Amino acid sequence: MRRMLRPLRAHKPARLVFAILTLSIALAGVVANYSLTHNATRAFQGQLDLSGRSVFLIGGTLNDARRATRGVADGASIEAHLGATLPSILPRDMRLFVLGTAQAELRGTGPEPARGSAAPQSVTLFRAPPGFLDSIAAHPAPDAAWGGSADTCLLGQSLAQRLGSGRGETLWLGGRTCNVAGVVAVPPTPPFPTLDDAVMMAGPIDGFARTPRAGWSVYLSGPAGSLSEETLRTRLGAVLDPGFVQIWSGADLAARAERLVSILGLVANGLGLVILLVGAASIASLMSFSVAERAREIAVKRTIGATRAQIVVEILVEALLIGLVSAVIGAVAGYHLANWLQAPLGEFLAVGLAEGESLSPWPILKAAVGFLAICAAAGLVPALRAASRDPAAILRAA
Amino acid sequence: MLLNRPLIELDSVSKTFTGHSGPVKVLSDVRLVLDPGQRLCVIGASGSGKSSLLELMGTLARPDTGRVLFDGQDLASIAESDRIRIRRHRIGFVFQNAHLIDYLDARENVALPLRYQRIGRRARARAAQAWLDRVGLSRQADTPVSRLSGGERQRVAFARAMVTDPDLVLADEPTGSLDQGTGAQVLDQMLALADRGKALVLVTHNLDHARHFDSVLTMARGKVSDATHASPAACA
Repeated sequence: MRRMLRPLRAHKPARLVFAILTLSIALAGVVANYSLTHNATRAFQGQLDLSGRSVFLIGGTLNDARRATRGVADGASIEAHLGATLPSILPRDMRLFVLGTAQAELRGTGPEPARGSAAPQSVTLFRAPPGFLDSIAAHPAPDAAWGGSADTCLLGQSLAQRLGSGRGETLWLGGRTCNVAGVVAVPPTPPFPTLDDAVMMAGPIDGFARTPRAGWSVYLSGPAGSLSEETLRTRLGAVLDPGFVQIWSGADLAARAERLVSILGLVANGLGLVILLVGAASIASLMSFSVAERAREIAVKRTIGATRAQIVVEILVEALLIGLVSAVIGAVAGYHLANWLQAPLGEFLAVGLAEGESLSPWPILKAAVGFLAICAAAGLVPALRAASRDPAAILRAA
Repeated sequence: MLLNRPLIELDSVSKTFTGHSGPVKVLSDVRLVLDPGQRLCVIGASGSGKSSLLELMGTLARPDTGRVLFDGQDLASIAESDRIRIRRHRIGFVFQNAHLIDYLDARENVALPLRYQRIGRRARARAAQAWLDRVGLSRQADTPVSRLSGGERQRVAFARAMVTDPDLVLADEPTGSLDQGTGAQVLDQMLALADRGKALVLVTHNLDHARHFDSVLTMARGKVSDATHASPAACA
């Protein structure tokens, strides 16, 4: 280590310490900035993933069902009607799921409902037809048999943890029971950000709900480019009255997320670049001063046989060593700074990490490598200038 | 290297530098032949062109007119890299103020030319230590040169010039900044340690030094005003 740092003896200690301090602070800022931004962009990953698929959610109220279907179906029959008619107007590779959601009262888990003063909890019930959970990347994939019975259900992982409940247990929902067939982790993918905290059933959920459902919804999922929103609207017109139907498109959300991530990236890179340029100016000035002061030394080296390239390499090595020392200090400081800042910032901005996650090393590595490249570039100009001076003229003047 | 060929030959060499007050002719029609192993003393007043002559002989500068031949090679016709190679392997330099690298210790200073020959660290240290032993600075090998006396610094500089086993040693007033006694000691050591196979050119304004050399060249206003190729006694 000492041997590796020997070339730094060429610099005056106070100036060297000041430069390393400045550069370390600059890099710590860049690393913290990159780390926090990287985490913020990861928060949009679910939305960005939507750009890889054609995803739509069509919905309406049960009260308007008759008008929406132009009198063909009512609130009780609209889901069956849509299940029968929509496949004929959609591309073959588009999958269709008739969904439903409602609130239920959870009166406890186990062989008997909770009694006494224990207040029932409100939980979200979600109708998840077979194949739906696979399509939104829930894992582990539920046993194919879980939807075979109307009184079996799945728990989202967050809800299972909250309840301390799991496979094989009995949930008392409203006046009925359902047997927990498994626990699945559901990523917070739009438009289902909270499924991980819900009870999922493959069949009808109305018998478990606290109040009757008010709306209907159909989820469409297919490969990217298989269906545009405009085409969907046109084709839906044949089956439904567009005035009573809402359409949510994943493409819009993905496009917004892409734009937001791109802006975040621009801001982070711009800020990082400005800070690194300050660092580059610092190292360039240090090297320029140093090289100017050491003109005689460099002339002596040229006289006794050093080539221009050898002089350039020596000065670049010094610049890179200063950069390396600063990079190590700056990266460690930046890592701690990001960890320290993300908790308070996370309350207001999407910069925090999920529980159990740690800061990614990649933005730190990228910042450090970029920093070293800038250090080399900043040292190159003084190095080339020093190597190109006439040694005889310098020694003559010395 | 052929023994019957001059090591350095200057043929009608002229050199002009551009100073603040316009061009200054520092060398004018200089002719000089230096054989291998020859010891030449160049004397003259300040500004007489002694150091410029040394720069030409040391391949650090090119003449405006005339030719400088090093071991038969016209220095004007060879590439910069070849001139550097000549300096690196065949010429040793000793400067008036030693011009050591202050943040290095004595051994590192002596080993420096070997670094540019891409010789390994240990071999460099061994060779440098051997030369420090010869100049009587064994115990100062690890001492930063900034702590050495003027005479010690000059001996380190001489060891640095000799460590590459050059054919030619160019010494530009190496005793100029030393007191008379120390200067004489340093010069004696140089003469004793530079074996007869090496050519030695000493630039000095001290006439006393001339008596130790085979030849004496006296310069005035950029011209050779007198050249003596004689015994030490005749030069005195």
